[in-house]
Amino acid sequence: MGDGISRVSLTGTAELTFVDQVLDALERLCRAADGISEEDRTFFSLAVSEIATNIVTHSGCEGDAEVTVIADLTVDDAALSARFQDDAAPVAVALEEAELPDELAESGRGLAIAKMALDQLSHEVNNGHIWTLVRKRR
Amino acid sequence: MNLNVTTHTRHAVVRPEGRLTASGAPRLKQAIKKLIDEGSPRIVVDLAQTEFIDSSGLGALIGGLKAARLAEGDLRLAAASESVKSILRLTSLDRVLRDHPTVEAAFGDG
Repeated sequence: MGDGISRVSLTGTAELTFVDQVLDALERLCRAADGISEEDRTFFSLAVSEIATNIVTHSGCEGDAEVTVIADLTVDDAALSARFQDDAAPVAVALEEAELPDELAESGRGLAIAKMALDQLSHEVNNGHIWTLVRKRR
Repeated sequence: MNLNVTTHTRHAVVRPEGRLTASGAPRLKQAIKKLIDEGSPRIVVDLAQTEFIDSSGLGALIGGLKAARLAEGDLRLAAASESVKSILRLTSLDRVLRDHPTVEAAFGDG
């Protein structure tokens, strides 16, 4: 490649096994790239896990058609980034309002954690959902 | 994720191996519930082989902590890696889910 950019793209059904596949692919991508710090790798993987889990668990709520997710992961000299696109029925996501719940809460942390672990997190509804995740390399 | 459970006279040890995420968290919750139901509410979660944790795994640990305390026991962490510790700090859960250097040290106070 020689341009300092590594990419991987995965397409799968919105199920928890897809989240594991994305995390496996990200691990391989980070290992192959040069000099990613432990903290960047950990926090970016955390955000990817939270958003991918959110996508597959919420797309199941519709109950009818199978939902397909495309995950694009990119590592370059400046940042780690991911883009998730699905074809689930559009749902509004209150991203700005996401914050950590009470410390003894058993759920409801995902989006808040993803925001904390990233420099940029955006969500748009467009025939499904598009999530963009960016963590600048420290 | 693989899960190993061992019981001792004074405490039980649960060892999640690999990633502790949504696909494995229900199994951890079940294992903790089973220990409490069987009369072992003093539980150490040995994180030495846990490479990664996310909010689903953290939720299972918090649920286990509350259930163990309700049964007059406790749930304590041991041997967390630097990356797992950094996630506990990021989420401020290091205050309620305290990590101990070893499994033995987790209930070392009796």
